[in-house]
Amino acid sequence: MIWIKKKSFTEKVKRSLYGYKGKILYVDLSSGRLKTGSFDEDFAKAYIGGTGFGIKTLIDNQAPGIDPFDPANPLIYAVGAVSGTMVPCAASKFGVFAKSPESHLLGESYSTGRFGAELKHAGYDIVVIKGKAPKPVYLWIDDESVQMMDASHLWGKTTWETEEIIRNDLGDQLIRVSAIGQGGENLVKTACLINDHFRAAGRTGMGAIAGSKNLKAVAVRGTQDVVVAKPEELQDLCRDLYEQAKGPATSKYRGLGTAANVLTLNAQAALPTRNYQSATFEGAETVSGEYLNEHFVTKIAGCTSCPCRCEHIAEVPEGVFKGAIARVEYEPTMAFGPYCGVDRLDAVIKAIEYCNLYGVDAIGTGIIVGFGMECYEKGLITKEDTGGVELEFGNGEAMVEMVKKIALREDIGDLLAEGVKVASEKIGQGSAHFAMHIKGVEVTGYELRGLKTCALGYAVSRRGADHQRHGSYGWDLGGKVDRYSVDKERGKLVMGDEDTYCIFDSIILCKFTRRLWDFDLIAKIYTLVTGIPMTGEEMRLAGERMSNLARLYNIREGLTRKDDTLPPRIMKDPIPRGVAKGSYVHPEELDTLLDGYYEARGWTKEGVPTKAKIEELGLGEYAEIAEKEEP
Amino acid sequence: MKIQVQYFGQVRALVHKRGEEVDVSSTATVLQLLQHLVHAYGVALEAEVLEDDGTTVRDGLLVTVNGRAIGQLEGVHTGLHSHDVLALLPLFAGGG
Amino acid sequence: MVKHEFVTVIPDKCVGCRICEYVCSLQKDNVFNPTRSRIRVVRIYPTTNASLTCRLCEDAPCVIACPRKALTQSEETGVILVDDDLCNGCGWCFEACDFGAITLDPDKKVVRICDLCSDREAGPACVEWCPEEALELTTKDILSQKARIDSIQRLIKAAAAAEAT
Repeated sequence: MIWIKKKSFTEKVKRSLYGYKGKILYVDLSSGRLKTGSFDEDFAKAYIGGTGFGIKTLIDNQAPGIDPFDPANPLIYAVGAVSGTMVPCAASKFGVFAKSPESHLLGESYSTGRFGAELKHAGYDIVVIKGKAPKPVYLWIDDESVQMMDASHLWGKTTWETEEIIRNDLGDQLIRVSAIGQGGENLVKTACLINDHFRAAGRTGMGAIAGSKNLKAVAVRGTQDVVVAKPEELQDLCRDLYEQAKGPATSKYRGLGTAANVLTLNAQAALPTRNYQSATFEGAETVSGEYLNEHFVTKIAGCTSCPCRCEHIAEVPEGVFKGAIARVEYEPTMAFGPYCGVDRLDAVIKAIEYCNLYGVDAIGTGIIVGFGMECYEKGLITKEDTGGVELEFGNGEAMVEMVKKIALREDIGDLLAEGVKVASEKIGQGSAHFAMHIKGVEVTGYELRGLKTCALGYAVSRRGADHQRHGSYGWDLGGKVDRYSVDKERGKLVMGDEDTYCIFDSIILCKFTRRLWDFDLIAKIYTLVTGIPMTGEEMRLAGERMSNLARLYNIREGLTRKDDTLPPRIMKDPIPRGVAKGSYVHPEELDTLLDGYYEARGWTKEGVPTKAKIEELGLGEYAEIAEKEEP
Repeated sequence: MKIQVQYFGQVRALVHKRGEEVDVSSTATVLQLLQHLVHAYGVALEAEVLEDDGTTVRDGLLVTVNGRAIGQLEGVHTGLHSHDVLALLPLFAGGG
Repeated sequence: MVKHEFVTVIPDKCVGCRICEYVCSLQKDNVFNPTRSRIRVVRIYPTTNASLTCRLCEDAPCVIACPRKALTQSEETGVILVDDDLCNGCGWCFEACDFGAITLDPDKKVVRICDLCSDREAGPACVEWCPEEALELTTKDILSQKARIDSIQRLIKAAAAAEAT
C-alpha cells in the first residue's frame, strides 16, 4: 500500500495587523496592470477605515481639478475596520468613493448586505480602480487572484441579471457582486452600484463613474481568515451588544421599519411633497410604514452579522404592478410617494424595483421625477417631450415609466438623467427655483424649511444634500431645540453629529444601532478587533480629522462658502400649511447658521480650515490647499 | 376634559386604533395622560411609551401637543387644555 | 430507539444574517471565516434563508463513501468522527452528503463536520447565538412530534373558523 505523508504548506505569515488586512489593491483598467500596496498601523489609527480610508485615498490618488469622467478619476472601495467580524451590524458595510459627476466634489456612498465582508475575506481593505477599460469588463477578485474579465455579454443587462450570469459563468453561487445596470452604462448622474439584490451604494453617482470606466461590476469571493486581536473578549462584549441590538433601542427598525417616518413627518409638516411644494401629504396614510407592513411586507431579512434584521422586503400581490419586489425604506418611499404626489405603494415598490434593476439611486431619481412633474404641471415640458407619458403629480404609472426613461435616457429622460441642476439650467424659465439640490446632489426626505438645525447639516454636508452625514433632524424633530429658529450654537450640534457619523462610517457601524454606541465603546471594540490602543477622545479626533480632510478636498476641487447653501424654494417659499405653516429659512438665518458652524469647526469665515486646525489634526501635508484660499 | 390622542407606528400596532378621544381631569399634564393610557392598555404600551422610571418619555418616541414637540413646551409636565391633540410618533433615522 | 440530537433550522425565522457561520469558525478555529464554518447559510432571492449543518444521518452515507475509512459514526451521539491521520481530503464524502454539511480545514487539509460543539459546555455555539432563535438542537422524533401537534392545531382552527361562518 502506498502511503503518502501529508505536508503542511501553510506559510508562516508574520501578522502585522489584526482585523485589517493592511492591503490595498490598485487596478489600472487602461493597461490591465494590477499591483498591491499596504498600509501600517499609523495610517489605520489616523483614518480608521471606510470614510477615512476613502477620503484619504481619494485626495492622494486623484489629480486636482480633473473631470469626474476622466479615466484618471479613481473609483475606490473601502471596507470598515471591523468588516468580516461578528461586531453587530458591521460585518459587511463598505464605502465607494470618487470625484462625483453630480457635484464635481467629494463623491461617497455606502452599502452593506454581504459584499463588504467578502472583500475583507478576500484580503483587501481598499481597492483603487483607475483608467478605462477598452471594452466592458468586470473585476474578478478571487482571494489573491485578481482578473479583468470580459463583460461584453453583460453590458445592457440589469444588475440582478449581471450577478446571476457572473455566478453561473464562474460556477460559484457565493460570489458577491457590486454591479451597475443600464443607468451606470448610460452615465446617468444618479447611477448607483447594486449588490446583493437590494443594497445600493446609491448616492452621488458612483455608478456613472464605473460606467465611464467600462466597468460593469466588481465580483469577489473571499475564503481567508479575519483574525482579531482579542477574540474571546470581543465575543463577550458582542454577547451583550447583540442583546441590546435586539432590544428596545432598535425595535422600530425591526418592527415597522423606517417607512414609519412617513406619518411622523407628515404630522410634523416635515414631509417633502410634490417637489417640495408642501410639507404635508393628504395621501400619507396609504404610503405609510403602517400600511406597507400590513399589505406588502413579506420578509424581514438581515445583513451579515446583524442581530437586528431590518430589511423590509415588500412584494406587490396584485394589480398592474403585480410581482414587483423591493426592499423598502423611508427615503425611497418618500421620493416616489409624497414627493411625486403618489399615494399608492404598488407604484412606489415598482419604481424602487426599477431603480434596483437599472441601477439608479432611488432617492435622487425620485426627486428628479418630482422635478419633471412640476415642469410638466407648469407647461415647461410637454407630452411630446415625455414621449407620451402624462407626467402629472400623483400619476404612479407615469412615475414608474419615467424612471425607466431616465435610466435608458429616452425622450426627456435624457435631459433629466443629468440631474435637476443641469436639467433646470437647460429648461430655464424659472425652473431653477424649484430644482431641489445642494451642490448638484438631489435633496432627501426632511423638509428643511421647518427643521433649521437639519437645514444647516444639509447645507454643509460634504457630499451635497444629505441627512446621513449628520442626522441633525434629531434635534429639531425631537424638540431638543426650537426647529423654527436659529442660533450660532447649532453649529456645535451639527459638528458633533458629523464627526460622530464619520466614525460610524469608518468602523463601519450601522446607524440603526447608534443608540448602542458612544466613542468610548467604539474605541474599545476597535482595540479588541485591531489590537491598536485607542481612546474615545482619539476616536472623536479621528472623526474631526476626516471632516476636515473632506473639507480640504472639496476646497481643492473648487468649493467655497457660496456652495454651502440651500435651494431657492427653501429660502423663499414658506411652508403653505400644517403645523410648520409659514416657516422657511431666511438668508440671514443661513448666514447665522454657517457662521456658527465654521466657528465651531475652527474654520475661517469663508469656511476654510485654519492653519492651527490643520496642524492640530495632523493634516499639515494638505496645508497648502488652505493657504491658496488666504486673501 | 376631552383630549384627542393620535397613535402612530408601533403604538398604533399595539392599540389597534389610529386615534381616540380620552377623558382626563381638567388639570391633567402630558405625563398624567400617558399614565392614563398605560393604565388602560397595560405593560406592552408602557414599554413603548415610558422609560423604566415611569416618568420620562421613552427615547425615540416623539410626543407632540397640537403639533409642538413637548421638549419645546414644558416636557412631560406640559399642561393640557380641552380639545388639545396629543400625538405619539416614532422617531427614526432615515434611509438605509 | 437511539435519539441523536442535531442542529436544524426553522426557515421562516432565519434571516440569513450568518452569525452562526461566524461563531462556529470562531469557536472551532479562533478566527472569523465562513468557509471554515460547519454550518452554512443558504440565501435564495428574494426571501428564502436557511442554514444547514450535519443532520447526523442514521446510516451516514459519508461514512460509507470514505475510501480510507477515515470517518466513523459515534453510536452514542451520532456525531461523525474524523481520523485526521487517515483522511487525505479527497472529498468523496462531500459528494456523498446530501446536505453539503462537510467542509475542509484549510490548514490541516482534512474534513470537518459539525460535532455539536462537544468541547463547549453550553453546547452548540450557533444555537446559542442565533438572534432569531431559528436554530434548534433537536431530534427527528421531536421534529415529527411538533409537526403532528401543529397539523392538528391547524385542523382545529380551520374547523372552528368554518363553524363560525
